[in-house]
Amino acid sequence: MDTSELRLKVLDDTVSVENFSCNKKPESDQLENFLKVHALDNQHKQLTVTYVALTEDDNPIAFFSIACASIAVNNLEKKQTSNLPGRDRYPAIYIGRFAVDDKYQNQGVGVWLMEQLFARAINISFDVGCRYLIVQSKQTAKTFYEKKFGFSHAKDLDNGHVLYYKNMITLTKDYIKDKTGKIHDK
Amino acid sequence: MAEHFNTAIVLEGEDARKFREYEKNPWVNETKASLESAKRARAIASNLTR
Repeated sequence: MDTSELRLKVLDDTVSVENFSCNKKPESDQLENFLKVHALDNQHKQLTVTYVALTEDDNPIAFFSIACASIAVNNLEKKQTSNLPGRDRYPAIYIGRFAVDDKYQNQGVGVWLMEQLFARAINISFDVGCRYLIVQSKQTAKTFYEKKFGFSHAKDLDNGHVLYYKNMITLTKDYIKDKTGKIHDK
Repeated sequence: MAEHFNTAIVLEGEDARKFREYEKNPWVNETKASLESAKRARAIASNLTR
């Protein structure tokens, strides 16, 4: 797949999603169902925005859906108010869905799509405070998120999925390596 | 029909401790591939209309 031929577009009713398919792996049919049933309605209600990767003939072969989010981290050192523990809160972008059509798996489309997502997130973070990217994923995508993109394991969820986070600084800042090989932002 | 995402993430206990460690050095889990992806993303971002 020559990803230079792809273009990213915000989903609207001119995009024909009927042929999109990602149901070979367990639970992936939920991703397909989201795109076909919920994505446009979510967008009209301003709950999520879905971006689709289109081929030259306007065929959608991948998509992601994002929303504003927050991470609240319990802080035992902070004084408790009411019955709630003290928490530090961090603004974030939540990647609720991220999928590639089965016919285009393992052809670089996922990497292309994530870099397109990162680019949007970088620009959002210049306009609105946003310290983290969060993604909910299946266990099987661990290598994709951790090794290819530097996400860190946040927590295991009750539904068998995993949450990962990534500090936006690792996207917005260039980096240097010190004498020990440790990486810092410039 | 809308589908709501759980966008209010709460980290407690060991998950909170790990997060605080990560905050001290967010670069700790970066790989050669992830750093290259970030570089490409910055280039894409600079060409997008904001």
